[in-house]
Amino acid sequence: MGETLLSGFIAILAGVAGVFAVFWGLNALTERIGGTFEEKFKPWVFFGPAFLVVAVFLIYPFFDTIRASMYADRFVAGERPFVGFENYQSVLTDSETWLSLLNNLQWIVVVPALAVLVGLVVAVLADRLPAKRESIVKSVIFLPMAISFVGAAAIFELIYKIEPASRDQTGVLNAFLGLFGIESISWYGNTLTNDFALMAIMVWMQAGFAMVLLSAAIKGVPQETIEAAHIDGATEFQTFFRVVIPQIASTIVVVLTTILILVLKIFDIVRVTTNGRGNTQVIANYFYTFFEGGNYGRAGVVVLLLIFMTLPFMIINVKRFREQEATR
Amino acid sequence: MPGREDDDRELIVKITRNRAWRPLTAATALALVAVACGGGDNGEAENGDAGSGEAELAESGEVTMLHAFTGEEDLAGLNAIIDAFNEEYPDIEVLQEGSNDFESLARTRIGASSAPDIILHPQPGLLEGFYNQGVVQPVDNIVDVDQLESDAVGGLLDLVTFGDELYAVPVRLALKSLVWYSPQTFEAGGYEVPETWDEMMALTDQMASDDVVTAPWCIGIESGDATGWVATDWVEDILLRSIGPEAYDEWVAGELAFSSDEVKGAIEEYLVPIWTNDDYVFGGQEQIARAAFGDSVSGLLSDDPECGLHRQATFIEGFIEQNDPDAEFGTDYDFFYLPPILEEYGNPVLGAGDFAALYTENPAANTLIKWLTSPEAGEGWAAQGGFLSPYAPVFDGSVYPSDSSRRASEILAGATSFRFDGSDTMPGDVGSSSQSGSFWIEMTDWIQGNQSLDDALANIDELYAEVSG
Repeated sequence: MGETLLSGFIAILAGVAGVFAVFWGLNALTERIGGTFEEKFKPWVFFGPAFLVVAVFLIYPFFDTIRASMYADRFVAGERPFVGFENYQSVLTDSETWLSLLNNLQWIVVVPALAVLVGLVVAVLADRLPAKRESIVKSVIFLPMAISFVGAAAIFELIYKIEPASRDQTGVLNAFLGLFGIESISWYGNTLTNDFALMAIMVWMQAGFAMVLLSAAIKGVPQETIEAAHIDGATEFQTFFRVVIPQIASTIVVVLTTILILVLKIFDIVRVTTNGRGNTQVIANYFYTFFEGGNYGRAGVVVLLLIFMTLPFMIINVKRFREQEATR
Repeated sequence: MPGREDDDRELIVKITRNRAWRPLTAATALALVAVACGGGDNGEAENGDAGSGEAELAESGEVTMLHAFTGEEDLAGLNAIIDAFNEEYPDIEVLQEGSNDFESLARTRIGASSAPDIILHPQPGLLEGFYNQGVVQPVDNIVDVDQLESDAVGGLLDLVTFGDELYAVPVRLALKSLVWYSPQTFEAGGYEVPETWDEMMALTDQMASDDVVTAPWCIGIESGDATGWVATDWVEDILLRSIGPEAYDEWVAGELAFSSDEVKGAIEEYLVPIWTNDDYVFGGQEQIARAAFGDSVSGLLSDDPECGLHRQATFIEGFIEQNDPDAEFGTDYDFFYLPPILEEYGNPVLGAGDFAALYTENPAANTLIKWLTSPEAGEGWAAQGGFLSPYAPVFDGSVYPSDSSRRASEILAGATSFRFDGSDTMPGDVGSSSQSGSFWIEMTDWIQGNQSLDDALANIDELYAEVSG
């Protein structure tokens, strides 16, 4: 154990120092050559290694995934034979695929919207508190962000737990329902509630992120515009919806799309709770189940599906940022 | 995974904040990569002389071993085996590594040509997959196959023999055909240990009408991402007793369909009456999929017992001890052999176990494989408990620390036929995966009430056909 820690520590030190040395050395080299050469090549010196990392760990695997998706999952004489688009056919005709897609759609409709809604309400209300209390409230709401998905799922296990009728209910929700004589609900087992029970975990975790960015945006709204609205006789609600919201609209979209991309890739929460049972399957977990079983062909198809679903939202997000940057 | 999303976001925030940070971000990223690459120095196995005839054995060297043990007791047991090995071969260093994610790790290592020397397989199905991939080494020329054949529990070697060659040696067995109960409950209710399935059902009926226990059976099949395996064990035990070991073999091999009259009929006649009867199962049918298998056994032992019977393998004793450290075998809890259904099939026994297979040509690893086939190899682990020797016919039973192990070993040695856990022997996709259509998933979906038994069995058949086609 101690040995492992030590070697890990040395590796980190050596890694950081090594990388620093590489950048410093290359930089010194270009400076030494000087002239227009330095002007031209300096950006490459800094950009190059980063590009190399992305190429090796992102671009190459992407194309390798496309290749893998066209080879069979079964070995024939020690090899995976080329099967063309057979895996695509198999995945696209599997009802589980469509169930996962439908569930992912449900997730991306519900979670970002709810997280932004909760984040916005907290941001607006906290804005009216004295500075010290505001920071306390915001810290508490932000806290779940620091918890891992698996940890959050474990916490919610205590909330959703259901015991046999002959025992006392230990799950918070069911114990609460019991106070009113309502029968316990199997939150993860019931196909009507399980998707939403899982989404609630994500909303709980992401509302803090939404709140922080939206709160900053609200504080950035010029006070004059709000005062002007008040002088013109606008009510609080009118001011909020017609003056504040339009001015923070771009931030709302950025927060929405960022959470949306995260939600598209939702994996951990589903994996450790229902593992896709009871019609809760999502694309990322569906992919991992194939991957784990060594079905790299079909896993490849599913992951490509996920990439192409994520891509448009990434593009929107980057575009938005560029526009925002330009206006600043 | 959670880290990555956060990084994306951090990156976005950073970029908007200050452009000057960019080179540094890149440098950090590169440093992390360097660390990631530098960490894994596994080293390729050195190729020995792999000629025909006797394999080369070495008395020194290094052996890497990958296994699925993560529990404290299992690890202690494995270490006891390794210690005993090192006493005899002090110059061979065994580097063992266990992982929860054993299966994907094994695949990745093999795919990257950095296979460990030895993999301990809990599932012969996965081993067969690797055999088809052509990456496993036969062990015929290392061990004395004839001796092994006579020492090991019958039928065990067939599981790891592919194309006339032996590809692994058994290390440990677990006995699955057991029903656990509390002698105190039995005394309170005046119950007797049943000798036949009918007697067991009569006992179930009696318990259901008495007030001694809340319900006759505790059944729990929840087990994280392996949820459902308990259900497959029940089905296997019932099939062995109702359609017989030969039909069982056909069923495991995919020649006898899940939806066939034999298999479906047996499930409907023997499993369904217990599992779907809310009076027979603690918490009712709906509780089955919710209860964690390790917790469900706790219903047996309490002042006000929730149930009287629990069908589970030998290893559940560890969970009983965990739930109630003071409980003693024989007085607080005990087990009986899951009774036979049809007399013609005698007393079949369902079991599971771990096999050691060889993945490289490393003379030191050959030595370990050969050493593992001596019945005494397991004595260290046996003395710790949670271990049954696969060499039950010749194993020294006095080594076992408890009556429970000794009695289980007797049941094993006295069985008319031994069969390995069928779901572990089927192709991994069908028998032990959580993809839709698998044995685990479909049985769980059925007992949760999300689909009919007919649909569940048809779905498994469909996946099996797809996988073998």
